[in-house]
Amino acid sequence: MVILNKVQQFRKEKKLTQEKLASLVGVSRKTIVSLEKENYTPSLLLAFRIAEALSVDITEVFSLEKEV
Amino acid sequence: MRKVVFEQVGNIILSIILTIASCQTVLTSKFTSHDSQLNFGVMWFLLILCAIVFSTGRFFYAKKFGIKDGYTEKDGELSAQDEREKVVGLEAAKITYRLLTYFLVIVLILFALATSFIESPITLRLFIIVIIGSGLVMACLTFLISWIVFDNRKI
Repeated sequence: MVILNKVQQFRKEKKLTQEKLASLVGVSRKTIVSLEKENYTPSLLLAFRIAEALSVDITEVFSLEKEV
Repeated sequence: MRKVVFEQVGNIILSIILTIASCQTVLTSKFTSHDSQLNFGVMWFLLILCAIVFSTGRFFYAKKFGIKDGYTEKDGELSAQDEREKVVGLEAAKITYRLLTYFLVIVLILFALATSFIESPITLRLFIIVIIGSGLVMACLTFLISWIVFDNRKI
């Protein structure tokens, strides 16, 4: 199973830079870049922090894709 | 990435100087049944100098970039800015551990066979120092390369 995310989409809607979002959730900009490229699966805590920073529900940002 | 490059390059340089200094001591010291003379060459002085420079560099690096890079003198190359870097460090450490284990197995066999093809006690001492020194350099280099690779790929 793969965790998909819409971090980039919501971040752009909120007009936030990667740097700003990174500082809001307490990670490096590179981690936001990796997240948006889906190269890194965040911890539950970071996922909640990102959803909170983007003012959306966690299930709107992150979803589970079941492999067939 | 900068902190890991800084730490590991420093560690590699110190390991190389330590290996050369140890070889120099073996080559210049004299051990007989009546007398023993242990000589410390100029490389030991260079090693102490480099260790002081590196320690000072670490102190100032931690002061200047510590907060931004998540670098602490205590954690060194294992310092992490966030949870992703912790994972990157863990994966790099796993690769280093595996490679070091294989290396030690090979070294063990080499040491067991060494006495059959190395007759001179000085050559044998040098052989051991060079092998252990190479292991140190290899471990540092493996951690550095693995860290850079994992930092840029899917984890």
